[in-house]
Amino acid sequence: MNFSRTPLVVTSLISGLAASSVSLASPVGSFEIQKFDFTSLFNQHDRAAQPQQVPWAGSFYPFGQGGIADESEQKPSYSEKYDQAFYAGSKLATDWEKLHHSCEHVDEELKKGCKDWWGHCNAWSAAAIKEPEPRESLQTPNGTFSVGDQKAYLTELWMSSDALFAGATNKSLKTGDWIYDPKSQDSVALSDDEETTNHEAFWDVTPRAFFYILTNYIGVMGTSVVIDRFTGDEVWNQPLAGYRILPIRKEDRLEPVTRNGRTLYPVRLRMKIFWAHDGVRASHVTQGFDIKKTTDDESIRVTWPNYVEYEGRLLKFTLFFSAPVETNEAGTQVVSAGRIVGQGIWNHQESRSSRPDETHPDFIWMPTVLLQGGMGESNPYIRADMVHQLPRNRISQKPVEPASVELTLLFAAGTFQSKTPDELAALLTAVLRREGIQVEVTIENLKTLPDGKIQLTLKVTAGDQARVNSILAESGYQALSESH
Amino acid sequence: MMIFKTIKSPAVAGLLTLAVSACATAKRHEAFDSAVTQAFNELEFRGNRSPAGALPIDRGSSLQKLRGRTEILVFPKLSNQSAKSRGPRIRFFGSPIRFAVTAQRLVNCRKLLAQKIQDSSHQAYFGTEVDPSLDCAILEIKQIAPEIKAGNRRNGDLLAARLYLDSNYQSYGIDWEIYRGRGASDISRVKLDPSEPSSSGLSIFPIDLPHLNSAPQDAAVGIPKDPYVRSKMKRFGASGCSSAPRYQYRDTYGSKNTVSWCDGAAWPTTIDTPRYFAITVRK
Repeated sequence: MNFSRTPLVVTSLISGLAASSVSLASPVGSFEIQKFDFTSLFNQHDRAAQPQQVPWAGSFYPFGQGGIADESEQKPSYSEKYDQAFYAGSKLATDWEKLHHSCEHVDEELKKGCKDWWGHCNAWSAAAIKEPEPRESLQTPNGTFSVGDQKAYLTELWMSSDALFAGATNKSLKTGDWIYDPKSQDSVALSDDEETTNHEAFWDVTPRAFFYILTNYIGVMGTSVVIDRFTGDEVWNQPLAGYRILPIRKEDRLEPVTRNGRTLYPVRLRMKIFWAHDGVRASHVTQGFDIKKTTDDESIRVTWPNYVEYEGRLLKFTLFFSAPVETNEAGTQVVSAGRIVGQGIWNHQESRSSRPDETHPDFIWMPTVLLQGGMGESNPYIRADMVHQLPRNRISQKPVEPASVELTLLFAAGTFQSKTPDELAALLTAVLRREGIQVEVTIENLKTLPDGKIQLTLKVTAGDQARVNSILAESGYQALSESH
Repeated sequence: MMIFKTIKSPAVAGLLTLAVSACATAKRHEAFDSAVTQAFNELEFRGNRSPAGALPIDRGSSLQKLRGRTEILVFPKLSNQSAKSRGPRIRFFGSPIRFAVTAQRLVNCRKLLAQKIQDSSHQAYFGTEVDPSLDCAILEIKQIAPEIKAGNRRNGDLLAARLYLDSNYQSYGIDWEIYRGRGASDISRVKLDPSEPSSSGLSIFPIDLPHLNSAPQDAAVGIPKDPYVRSKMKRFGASGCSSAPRYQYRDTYGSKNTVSWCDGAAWPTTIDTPRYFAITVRK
């Protein structure tokens, strides 16, 4: 990289990374510029990077145990303690949790799945990235809150985060032979986004996107992302604690492929990824993670300082380059490389994996600020303004619940097309919440009348009735009549 | 090529083993071949030059029109696919977020390179690569509404992007300002590979620009049919145009993006990615 024309003074080349990372001293201080090419991204941080704030280990508060109303870890439960502190003992948060974040009210055919794997892992993943880890008890005017209490409340808040995704998915389709047959009936059917086929959805995140997201977000920007580590039909969100790219061996440089006078240079890459674990007790205080202690062999065991906090996976894939990839003798540094062309191919895509559900991430996402009320999954009684004030020791006022009124809206048959009651309830919740109306629409709020019309009955904050109607109309759901 | 070698079953393994191995080899070969073909297609596409007159600058677009402030309405595409349950999967547009594009510098590249700008990366980005006869811009892209109170910021939030580009809309680098907690932020500076288009990554910053080599595919401005999006666009005075070149491409992260660029517009009229739909508000 030649900066000779710039008046800035090149003070040093970071050892061994001449092509990737240059420290410049300017009159106003020093800063670092990263290059966005394969050579630089491979070499940065000696091939092993972790985010500036490594996500903490926590609990996913399984629905099978009642979410944060679980009493097996502590009595009173996290939610009951919150109720005692902020709602004078009336069990608002606990009752809501038991109704919505447990398996009691789930249909029989879904109950087993609910007990096996449903929970707060998306929320914990986001909280572990976005919030500093609570590491000690807090004494407040509202009582003492343990590490476990604080983690439970932070996790619950992030059930409503908005997320930005890379990778399509279809969680309703079990992994089968179809993943290796792009022409099968299941493969060509559309996935959840209705733009991508199931086959495409299974095989993205592609190796190229995976490489760029990890090296750019964790390596360059020092920020973690969340992966769904279950490639198949379940969801196992985990926030990434770091990655290590293993050296490129001679046998990893595959024979070039030439077509129509153009040549591509395939190279096999091996990357270890590590994530924080959600199987520890909520009260656990994380001892830490250091990516520099991982090694260049293919073992992904994490033996320090506490093996229950972090775990990992080795992923192998091939990327195609426009020019040869040249490395040092040990393969630990790339000296030069062409640009990455195409999306690449996972090794387990070429030769069948015996456990395809535990291979590449099904999707990768970034939690964002709690802006729009999310998807209506969080406990509305665990409030951000209260939880975030806990460390500041400022809460003494109990929140006042505003008066509510019942609103009934009647819609023509077909207004909501062919949505199931569950889908419709979730959609209406989201549509209202994006405009700041804090309601939870459930299937009990919806009724199909004998003439096919749909009746929606809701409790809304007094004064919001007209807004609810206009928001729904603006979203394409014009009511025939309104009463309250 | 090593990976195309046929798996040789030992004779003692019998015909069945041979058949299974041959089948597995064929599938493996097919998957690899398909990935190679896709890569060659991309190589071919990148080698293309846009037909004469097809680039935005050929159709009246000019960075100079970005003087002042340009507003962009961004509708995040939200989904609950990360939820760990079998609840119904829904996807919908979130309420619009308004971004502003402000030109911090917009001058001839030679002049810009000679300037000392406090804490700026311009010389390292443009360096020797930019044509000094072109204009160069440093654009700041920031969310202006809804306003996020300082207390609601969280670790890793992106506060602003500064995009370095020339008057051909070729991007050279991006500064990302990242919140690090307790009121502190730092800047991540990324020099772009000339072959890569500017990309918003996993964010909703409306900075996805097609690469110069992308040729427009047709002339339709793609605006979602969603009534909510349309009513918000109307409220904020955002509209497309009757027809515009439409660029479709995969960005660095593999996202399929579509960018429509009305004739004479200084910034893409619409940007459609898997994470957001953006429309520039005309003044």
